[in-house]
Amino acid sequence: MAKVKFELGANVLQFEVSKSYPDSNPIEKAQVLDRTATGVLRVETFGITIRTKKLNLINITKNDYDGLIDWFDNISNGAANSFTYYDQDSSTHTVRMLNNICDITQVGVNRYNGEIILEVVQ
Amino acid sequence: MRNDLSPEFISSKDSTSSAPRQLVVFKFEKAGDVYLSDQDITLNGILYRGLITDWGVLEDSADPEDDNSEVMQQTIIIDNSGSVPFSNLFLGEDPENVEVEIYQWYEGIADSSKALIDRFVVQDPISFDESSSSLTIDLVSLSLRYNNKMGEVLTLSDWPLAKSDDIGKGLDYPVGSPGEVKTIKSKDQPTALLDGPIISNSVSIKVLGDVSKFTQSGILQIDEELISYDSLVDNTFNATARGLYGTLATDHMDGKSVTRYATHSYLLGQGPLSSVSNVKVAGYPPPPSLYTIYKDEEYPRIDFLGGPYSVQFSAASNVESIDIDNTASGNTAWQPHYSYDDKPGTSSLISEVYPSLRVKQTDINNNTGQITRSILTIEHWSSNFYYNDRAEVWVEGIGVLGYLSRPASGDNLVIIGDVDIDHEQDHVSGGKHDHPFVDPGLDTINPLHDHSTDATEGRIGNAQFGTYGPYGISGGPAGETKEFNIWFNGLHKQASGSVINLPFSFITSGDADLQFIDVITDWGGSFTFEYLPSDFTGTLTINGGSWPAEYSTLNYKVKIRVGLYVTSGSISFTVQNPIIDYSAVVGSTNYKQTNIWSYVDVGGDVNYENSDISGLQIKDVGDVENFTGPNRDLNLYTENSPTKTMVDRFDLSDYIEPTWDWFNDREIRINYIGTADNINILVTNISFEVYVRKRERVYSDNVTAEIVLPGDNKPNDIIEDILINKAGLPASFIDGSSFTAAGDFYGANGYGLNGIIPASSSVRDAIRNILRQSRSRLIWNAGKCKLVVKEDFESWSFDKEILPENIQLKSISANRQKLSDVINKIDLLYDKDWVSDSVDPFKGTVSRIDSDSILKNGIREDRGKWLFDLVTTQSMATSLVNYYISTSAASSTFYNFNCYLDQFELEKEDKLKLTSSGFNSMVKLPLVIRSIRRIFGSSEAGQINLLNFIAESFRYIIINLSLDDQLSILESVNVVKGFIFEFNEIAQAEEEVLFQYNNIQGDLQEISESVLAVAGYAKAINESIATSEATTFELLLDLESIVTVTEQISILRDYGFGSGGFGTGVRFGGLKAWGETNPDEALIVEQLGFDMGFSLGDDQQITDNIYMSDGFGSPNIGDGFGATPFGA
Repeated sequence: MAKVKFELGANVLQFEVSKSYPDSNPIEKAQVLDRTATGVLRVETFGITIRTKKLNLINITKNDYDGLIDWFDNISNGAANSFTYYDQDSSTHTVRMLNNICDITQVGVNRYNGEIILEVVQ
Repeated sequence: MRNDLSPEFISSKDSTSSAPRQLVVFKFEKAGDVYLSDQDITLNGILYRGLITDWGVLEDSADPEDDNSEVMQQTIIIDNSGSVPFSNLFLGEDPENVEVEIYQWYEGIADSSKALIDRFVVQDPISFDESSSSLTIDLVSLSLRYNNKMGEVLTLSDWPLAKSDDIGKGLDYPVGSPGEVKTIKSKDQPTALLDGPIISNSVSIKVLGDVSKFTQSGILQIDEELISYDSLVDNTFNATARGLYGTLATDHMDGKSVTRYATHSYLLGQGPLSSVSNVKVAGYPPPPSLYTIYKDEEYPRIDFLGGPYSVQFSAASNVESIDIDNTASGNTAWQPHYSYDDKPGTSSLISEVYPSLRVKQTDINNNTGQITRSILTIEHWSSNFYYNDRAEVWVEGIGVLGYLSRPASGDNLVIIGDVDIDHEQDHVSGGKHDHPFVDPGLDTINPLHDHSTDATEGRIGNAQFGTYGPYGISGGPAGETKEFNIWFNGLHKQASGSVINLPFSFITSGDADLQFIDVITDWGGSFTFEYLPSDFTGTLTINGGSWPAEYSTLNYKVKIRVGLYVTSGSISFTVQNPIIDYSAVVGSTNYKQTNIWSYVDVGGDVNYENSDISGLQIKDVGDVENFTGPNRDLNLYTENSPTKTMVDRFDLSDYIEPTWDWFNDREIRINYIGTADNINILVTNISFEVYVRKRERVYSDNVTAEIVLPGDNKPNDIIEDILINKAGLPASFIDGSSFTAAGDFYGANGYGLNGIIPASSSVRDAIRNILRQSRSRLIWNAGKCKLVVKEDFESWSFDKEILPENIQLKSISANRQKLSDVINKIDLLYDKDWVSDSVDPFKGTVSRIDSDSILKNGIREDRGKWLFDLVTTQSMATSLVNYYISTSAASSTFYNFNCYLDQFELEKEDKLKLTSSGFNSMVKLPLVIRSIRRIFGSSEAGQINLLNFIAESFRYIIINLSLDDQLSILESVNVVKGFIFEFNEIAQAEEEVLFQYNNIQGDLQEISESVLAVAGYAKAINESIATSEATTFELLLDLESIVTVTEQISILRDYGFGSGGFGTGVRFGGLKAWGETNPDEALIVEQLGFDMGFSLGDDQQITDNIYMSDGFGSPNIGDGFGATPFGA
């Protein structure tokens, strides 16, 4: 299992620690359901399918933490800039960080826990 | 219903799973088009930026009960963040000028398939704030922009010469043929008032008032005179010529109006006009040469040179005479010209011999005014009374008017004659003299002489005597009586009016008395005055009233006796100048009183006075004294017994309305009719007497005219013109097909509008008024303005059927209209008189009531609601009132329900059949959509796109079935109606229906599905029944009935021995089904006992085999038992 990596142009953030499980890749449909007088469903789809990937970070190193903070603050600029996400299978996805706050908790010496939500840009 | 949706769009909207999107285009004048949506969408190369964060709800303000006031409104919220927020676009231009288009699109369909929801305009103000970075914008219907006024207002700046009273008045918008309309004076001329009178040659004309608008030279008008002037100094005009242009220089009174003589203009509202006619000033036509019409202008007008006036007739009539002046051909009367010449006492004569007086009027009569009455006047008399013959009066063009009056009792001729008598005496000294008559000529020797004028006619004169007395006695005691005899000699016996005045004066001393005064007349009468005072002074007046008229002698005497008595002292009296006032009469020339005299004899030895009064001038003009020869007689003779002149007046007004021309060459005939009396009828004068209202000029600014607009006056054409030319709506925004369809309805039903739309009215109000008066509605949808006529239910064609699967679950609600909104009595007023100042200027009324509604709810009306000022025909008014009473007399129910976007094509005024899934037992309920809200879907809010409908169910459709109605049944019903269809009625059933009814000959049943008819009716000759499916009838056919059977029909008949034979499975004498096929017809040649009631002699044509038996033997009994043997 490869370690995940962020890449935006020449900027690369290669995590030292692999992502932790459980892994989650939720898909959200912008839809509304309603029911006719005969009970038949009416469905309206209002937008694109939103695919997100939760990056579960457990006991990442301070290097990873510092790199992530720098990435959030300066490279991706929060959700402003999309970048390429290399997942544990080395598959690439163009994503944005959905977090407005990059809140990674230090849980021990040189150990940090947190979660990053990436939305796949379609 | 919209029909502009592409198949691709329809497919998407109808899908139970769809991906609807809204697209917005802001059309900035400067910034150009800006495209937005709620997510970034690129379509046809255009990026719709996903800045819309909330679509809100597209509200429909349409009041279901007043559905021409609608405005669509929607509030959207736009993300206003970023370095160049959206609101920046409004910095450079006003929001209200920005139009907005909102489209419905479905993901995946082509750009060309998107459907315009509607056009809007940004409503001022917009709001945005820093904290939320959002911009809230209200979008409203484009129609809200069209609030312009229908016409301009007359302003002093634009119309500096307008009449001050008319400043501020609007230039109205006429439609169709409004008829007579008022005008507004746009060009007035200055007026001042004469300061003192002027005469016909005055050159200095001083006036009072503001003269600043007069020019320094020009022409003035005072009354009817035109005057040129060359200067104006100190309110004084210097006249250079009086009586210009043929007017008459005349005097003018102080205070008369002095007006600048120039053009006066009167505007007729907005144009151009097709025609202007019947111009009137103060209600009457002015001379055509006085004005010029400019009908093709933007503001058509009438220009008058000089102040406008009309020639009107005076209120009171004068009597004028139109004289006959010629003899007509065919005259047989004697001296016909004497019936119309000016000579007095001349007459034409008609008689049996000269039977027909024919005259006529040939001189041209000056038209001096309006003839209100005409009378033919005939003066006539006759040579004798007559009782049988008559004189007929005939007038050309009328015929016999009547007959001259015959003389009645008392109509005898009366002749008064004067006799001129001359003589040679000069009467210088008075007295008697002879009169040498010279007959017949007038004596010229001394023609100028005086006769006495002292005496009045019939009275000879007064005699005044001297003083008598004193008479008296003294000493005493002694008494004495003094007597006076007053003599009248030669007094005519009719002198009963004579008076004797005796002024007494008594003087007494001592004891003396006046004991009495007696008056003793010669003819026996006497009376006594007693107990008079001793110093009595007074006049004893003796009137001759009681003197006998038949006393024989002409010498009368009145004796006065005065009784005196003295005891001691004295008493005396005097009579001071007694007067005898004669009252003799000149009876005739044969009985002249020329020598009358009298005297007073104070009796006995005391005194005697005599007064011969024969010398008094007792003549009066025309009186004569005794003539030595016989007096001249004035002998008047009549041949018969002529009558006095009579005047007959025949009123022609009962026959004609005479004009001046009517009298020219008009012949009059008076025909002698009869042969019994043989008299002469003499016609002194014939003339026409006419009552004339004189012409007079009336100056006024009250100018009216009849106008007609060009083009069509159907409501659709007028609304379109207003929308384009008044509201500025692009023609492309008008839905041509709906306007054309509405126009077809208006044309077919004679709907046309004629009248005036006030300039002060807004475009919206004007259109609303038109729509109401044409039972129509204007709706805005899909970017178009659409016109819909509200049809009678009988004319409905349903746009769509809404089923439960089209309706949101449990979304239906119902609101019944308030009872107070019910109107069951309408008095629709129409045909407005646009020049009337009356509070009720409408000339036509159509009234309708709904009796059933009144019975239930009492009379409910709203009088002010039905003033239809643009409707002028009774047929249109009737059509409108019929519609409104049918829809207003019962409370409607308004159903509110939600549908999905698959009903996107529905529009207001679409007709639906609504079936609920149980709510209110609605099955194909007829509804008409009154308003539509759009609730936009949102995934965040979990809201699906919905269309919220409010649709009206007319109660009258449900309950008001009656005779003559056309019955449209939309669902299974059990009708036990019991009504009788009328001839040619059509009953249309769309689904199964159970009828129990009675048909009458000629009824036509058009049944499109299975119908169970329990008819029980009696078919009559020649009835035709057409069924499209299997039908079971029980019916009776009569002689000569023809039955056309289009499907299998089972007829049972009796039969007996014969065709079936014994033992073939049919009972002896039983029934057998007799199956025939189309187009069987039975030829009956003998009496048969049919259920159908055929009789002998019925003519039935059989085109198929028919198996019958006439019993034993065929064709004759002798043939044996039946065609088929027993047991076969």
